Amino acid sequence: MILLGLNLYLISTTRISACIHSCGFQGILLAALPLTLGHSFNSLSGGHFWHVLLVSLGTVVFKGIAIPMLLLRAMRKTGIRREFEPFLSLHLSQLVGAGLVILSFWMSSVMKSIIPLVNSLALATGLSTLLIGIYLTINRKKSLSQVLGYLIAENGLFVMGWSLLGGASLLVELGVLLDILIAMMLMALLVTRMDEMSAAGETEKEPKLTGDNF
Amino acid sequence: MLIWLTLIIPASCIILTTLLQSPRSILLLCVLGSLSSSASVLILVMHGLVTPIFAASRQLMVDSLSSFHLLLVSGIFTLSSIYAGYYFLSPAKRMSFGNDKARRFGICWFSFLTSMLLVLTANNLGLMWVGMEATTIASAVLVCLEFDRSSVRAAWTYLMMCSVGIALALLGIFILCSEGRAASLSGESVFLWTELYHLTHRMKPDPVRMAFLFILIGYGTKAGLAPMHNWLPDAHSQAPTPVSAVLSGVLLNCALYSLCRFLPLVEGVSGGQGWAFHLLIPFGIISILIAAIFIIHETDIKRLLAFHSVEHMGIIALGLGVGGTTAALYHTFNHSICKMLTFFCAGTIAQHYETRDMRSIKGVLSSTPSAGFGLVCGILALIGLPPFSIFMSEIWIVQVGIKNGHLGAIVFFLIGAASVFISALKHVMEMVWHSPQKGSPTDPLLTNKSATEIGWPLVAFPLLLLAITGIWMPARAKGVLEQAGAIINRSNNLI
Repeated sequence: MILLGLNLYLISTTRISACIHSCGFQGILLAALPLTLGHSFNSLSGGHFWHVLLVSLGTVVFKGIAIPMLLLRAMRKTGIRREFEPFLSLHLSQLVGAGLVILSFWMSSVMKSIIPLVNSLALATGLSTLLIGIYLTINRKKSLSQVLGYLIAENGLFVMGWSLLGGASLLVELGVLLDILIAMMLMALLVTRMDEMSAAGETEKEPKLTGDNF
Repeated sequence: MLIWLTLIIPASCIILTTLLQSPRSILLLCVLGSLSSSASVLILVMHGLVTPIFAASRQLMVDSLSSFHLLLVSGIFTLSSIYAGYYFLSPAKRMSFGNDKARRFGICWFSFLTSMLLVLTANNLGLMWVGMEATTIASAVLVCLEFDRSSVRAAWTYLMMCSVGIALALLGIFILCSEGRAASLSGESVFLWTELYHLTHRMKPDPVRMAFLFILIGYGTKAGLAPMHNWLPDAHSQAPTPVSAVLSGVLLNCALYSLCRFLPLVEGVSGGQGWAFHLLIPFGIISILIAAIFIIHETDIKRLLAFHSVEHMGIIALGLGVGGTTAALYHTFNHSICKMLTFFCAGTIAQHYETRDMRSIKGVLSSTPSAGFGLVCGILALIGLPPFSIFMSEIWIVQVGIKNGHLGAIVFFLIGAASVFISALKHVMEMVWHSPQKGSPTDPLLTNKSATEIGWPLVAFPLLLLAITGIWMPARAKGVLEQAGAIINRSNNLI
């Protein structure tokens, strides 16, 4: 568990162009979470071994393989490789990231005192991942890295869901996974499309949103 | 069984769309498909209004609150499908509306309908969230149907803001349900609204309040409440007009509906002092005031209507906040019908004049009689002119607010509404009174006058509905509204 927490933390705060790979790796790690956490919540998931297995498998396939491949393809098409242009510099971002992690550990210790039966470490991990993901979507300018931020935020939500509820509903988890996959497909499509258009019309002035779609 | 049928009809239309070959037949399928799904919704609602019905081991449920919204969704969807025929087959659009685009439209149109029906019939709060996210995705594709620069940009903003926003709502749902689990629920039932509804007395207020904050921000983003409304004007103005009508006519309602589901839960936990309701008031006021400011200088007709949506969502939130749940639902109904009508007419007028800029739209009554008449009456109704029902529901909200002692909020509301009234009236008068300039592309002599029109029935039906419900409301309809309002108020013991 500690390993997992550390991993998530490291992945989310290192800002390199291989972010996508680490996101995929994060997805695979996430898949391990139901398997490890599942034992402590046996009473509640009622020993639904298949349920846990299915969710893990779905997570590996979707978050570990399919989505990173999609994003890599989008990256290749657009030619965005490393040029992250954050609003705040990388060093400052690392500080912010560390701050967010501390904040989420503090918040989860507060939450632990209010909500019983919570796996505090997983909760803190999830919360910090969520916050860092949202921070990334706000701080990054390139659309592709905003997508990554959203993905990381969703990963954080997944961890929080498991730590709060221990995989309460197969239906909900698979539904959420499917939603995220489709959203990612669409986002990747939009990213490539926006890139094509800005490449085609670089001399054009920035369009006003009062285009000609009447 | 009936609930399943309601979901399966639009879902099977998605598959049917992929088989069809011409744009014309796909648009026809849109009309037929939404008609048949409205028929099944009608039968479902007949039962659901009497007593809540369940399906799929209580994962799906229809009660009077969801019945009310179901009726609204299917009605507006059907009319918008008919309008889509007019819109896409008009001379301005017919050329560019090819096979691929038609198929993309059909598939997403029905996915959109299916996911909204899923939101409204879900008893499982997680499933409701899944449906909500699905509506975002399907409608984002519809927004960028043209796939040009500005619409893709708008769809991107929309998709990112709403996805991140309702991710927060999911967090809130997790927290709420974990509290439910602590109150001894097990397995799948943790997510069931009906179970949580009965357990509220055993839950602790603090976590539930925290959960509600997340849910409010999340679904509030989707509903276009003010500080989180940035995506709304772009998405609504860039989308093809039938899509704009559905987006602001019913999608915003669906988001508010989801929010309404949580109100009784939070109220039940925190002892019914109106904590959750009061939280809605500032959001409502900010929405009204911000919309009022932006409406003054707006020149784009569809953006004008989009800001009207923000204003009316604010009014509905305010209505809920001051405790007038029935009035708020009544206003929801009025706003949806009226907004659909105005978008239809605005779309047709914009097609006729080949611009959305209100400064070049002059003399609407002479150049496009039916659409012009509809737009003028629609906007007059929208800003709350007396014979129409929006006036009635606004007065009702004011009454309830004063009765419950929210004078300050009501004053802000009246200031905002008055400002909107004046500035929108100015926009309307400018569009009506000036005659079209001679020799310009908007000269009716130069453009093909009869080609871009919408049928009178499509204008007259919503308008009559608004006028009639403003003057006289059938007792049955009022009963439905009160029944649905009672669920939010938690003042009934039906479930």
